[in-house]
Amino acid sequence: MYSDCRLFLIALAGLIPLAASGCSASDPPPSDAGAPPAAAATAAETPAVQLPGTPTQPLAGTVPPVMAPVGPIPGPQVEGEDPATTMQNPYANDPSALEQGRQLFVAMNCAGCHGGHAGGGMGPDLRPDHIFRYGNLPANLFDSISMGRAMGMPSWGTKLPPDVIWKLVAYIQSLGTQEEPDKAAPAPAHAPDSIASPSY
Amino acid sequence: MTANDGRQRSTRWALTAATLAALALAGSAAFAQSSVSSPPPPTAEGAPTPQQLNPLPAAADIHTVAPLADGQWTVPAGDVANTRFSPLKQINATNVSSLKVVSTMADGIAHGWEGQPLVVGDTMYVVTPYPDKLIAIDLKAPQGPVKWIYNPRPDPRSQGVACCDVVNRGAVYADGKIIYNLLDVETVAVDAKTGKQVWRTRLGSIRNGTTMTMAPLVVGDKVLVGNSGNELGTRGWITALNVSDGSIAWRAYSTGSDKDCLIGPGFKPFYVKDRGKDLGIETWPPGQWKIGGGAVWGWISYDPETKLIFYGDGNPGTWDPTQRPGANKWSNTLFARNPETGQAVWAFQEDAHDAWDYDTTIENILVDMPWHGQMRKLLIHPGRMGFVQVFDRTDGQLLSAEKYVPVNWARSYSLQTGLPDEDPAYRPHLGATTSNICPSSTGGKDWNPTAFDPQTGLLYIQAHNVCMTDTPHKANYIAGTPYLGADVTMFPGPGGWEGALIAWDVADARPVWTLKETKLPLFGGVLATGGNLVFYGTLDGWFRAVDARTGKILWQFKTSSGIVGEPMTFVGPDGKQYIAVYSGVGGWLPAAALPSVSETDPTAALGTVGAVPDIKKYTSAGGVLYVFGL
Repeated sequence: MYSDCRLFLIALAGLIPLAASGCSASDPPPSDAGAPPAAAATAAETPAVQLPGTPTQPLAGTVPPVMAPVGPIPGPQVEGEDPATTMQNPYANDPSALEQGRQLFVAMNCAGCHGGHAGGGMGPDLRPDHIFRYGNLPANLFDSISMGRAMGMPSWGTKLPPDVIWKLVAYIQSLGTQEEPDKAAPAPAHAPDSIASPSY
Repeated sequence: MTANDGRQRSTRWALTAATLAALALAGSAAFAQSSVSSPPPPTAEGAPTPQQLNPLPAAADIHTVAPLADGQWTVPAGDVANTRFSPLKQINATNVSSLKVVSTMADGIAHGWEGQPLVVGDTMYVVTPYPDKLIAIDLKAPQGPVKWIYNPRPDPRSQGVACCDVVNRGAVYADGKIIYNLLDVETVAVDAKTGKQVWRTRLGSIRNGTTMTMAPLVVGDKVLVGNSGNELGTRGWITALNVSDGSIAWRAYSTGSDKDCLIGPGFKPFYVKDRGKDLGIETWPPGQWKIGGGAVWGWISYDPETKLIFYGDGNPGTWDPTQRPGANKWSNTLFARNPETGQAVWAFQEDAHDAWDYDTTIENILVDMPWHGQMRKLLIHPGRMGFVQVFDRTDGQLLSAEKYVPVNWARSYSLQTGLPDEDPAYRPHLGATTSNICPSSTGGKDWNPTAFDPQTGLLYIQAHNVCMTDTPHKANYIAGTPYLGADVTMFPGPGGWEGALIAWDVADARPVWTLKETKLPLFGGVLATGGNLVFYGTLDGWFRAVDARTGKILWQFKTSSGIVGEPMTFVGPDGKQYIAVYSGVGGWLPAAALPSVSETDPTAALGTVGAVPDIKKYTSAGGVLYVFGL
């Protein structure tokens, strides 16, 4: 976004004076200083909202009563409000769980898609240099494995128990760290000469 | 901010803009220079110089069985015999140095753009990688504006089932329709004039790991298509659909009973090794044939004289051979079939009980030429296993098999038995790591097709020199997920080169010259023309024309991405010859160029990353169609 915006400005520079406000995409996020503290109410405390077009009485036995909004609502957020940011992997830092997670990664055919050591292929790279479209917090990874994703990631939540999924999450979190089990051996620079013919 | 600050900033931006404009001008000047100057010095830009190895073959009376028609390109390989040779010669060795870009079009897709455009009448048709759009381009108007776009909207989940990038190798034209396959296992026919869908037939399901990527071939009133998915436990097949309405005429499986494989009384394999009843079941552990691979994802050839189609099918699943004792028929097998009924006429299994993923789906080139003094109907198979094989296509007799890249899994093929003489030191099995196998699973070359020039008698092979370490492991079949069973790491082969355009003398079974690449393998197709020219592209984006006899580079142009597409040529409505090619890196061997693949895991993308660890330095994904003219 930043570079797009900058090119746009370069193109405009010779035609019109630079707007004082600059480009919003490259600016720091707006300050929360002016927001009233009351706006940071948690979802649980928010009263149920009557959405436009919603019947006042649900049809008997078919539709649950209108619920309070679930999850964060628009507006200034406070750190830690998203439960995913605080949810811990019960197997984090457990060396035997990492080993099991590695074995599961191969046995459940994750390696076939995401690469022998998770560098990608059919499915995306899961190593730390990659941007995780659906987030790389433990809870995000658990959800991606459990629910599946739109580009072809199968949903494993009905096939694997939660503790198995958490072990897979533990393995993925260990990638690129000292704790990563069964690291990939580096490829040789090239095959030795004279192991195959013809040579030309 | 003061007014003074504002002026300073404006000045700075204006200067930057001026600098950019100057750079742009310099860029276009360089572009013009590279397009119209005399032949560039071959050493410029690190371009290779040809290595002469053997003299040219003696002039011979060579017949192509189905020459190209009137400057069009209506079937994937130009002709049904898969020569990728066009007799057009307006663009030739004397004027190719002034070849320049006449039009470009981006596809907006960061995946491998394999395949080639079609040209029918005054329209060019291109098929994109997933989402498999068909775009019609008006060749009558300047720069070729889009006439219409057909968007089939295949199931997005098919992207997660495609083994080797979400590619498509192109369409075929017949009966006023453009016909091609969709990744989510459908074949569609689109009205070539209006872009309206005529029919759409579902042929399988992504739920069991099946996809479709190959380019169909039309023979008579039938269109022939095949599936992909050997790395996901699919069961291979070739299927004929009626061109008129898309209904299925016949299907021949690659595994299972003789009935399922359309093997009947007319089946006469040349060699004993390929004879027996229900070998598609008997050469497998019980039930394993149902998930045994053999997908037909490559090119199909047709000979109008013998009225036979020829194709090879793919590897057996899993890659762990220990899980499937037996010959695993009919995986990795060349078939000759009757296109009307699908009945098999002969078969030749390349490697029984494959342990290397050496698919036999590579193209088969059909020519009639003198062979040891006698005119023969030949089938030339430059195989993934590293040998150029020559068969008599009337009966499946192997006439020659010689290595064209460094090979060690086998020493030779016996012409008496049709069996390879394997070196057991390079056969992987469960519980061991086998090192330095050559070539790697990607082969001496993969699906990227060669061209055969009947004027020179040379086959132009885009080879790569890659070897591998293979550690098989037990694979679990979980429908719709990879049924892989091996940890593979690939790396450049011996001799200090990664790829080469090899001019191969078919009659004498030896190379005449090579043009080697030291940084990256080659992974696109080749075009030979009547202008004494051979066109090919490199993975760092160079598109080149070389002298068909000497290999001297006569012209080159740097495209925007690595080339995995196949060059083609045609005569436009203005009567002038043009050359077209897709630039857009991706697919299997170059997968590490894709943003979704890390160069830090050599086993990623089924082991190919180790072979091209620094490819991101040289190229990145994003498809562009280039059209060149004089």
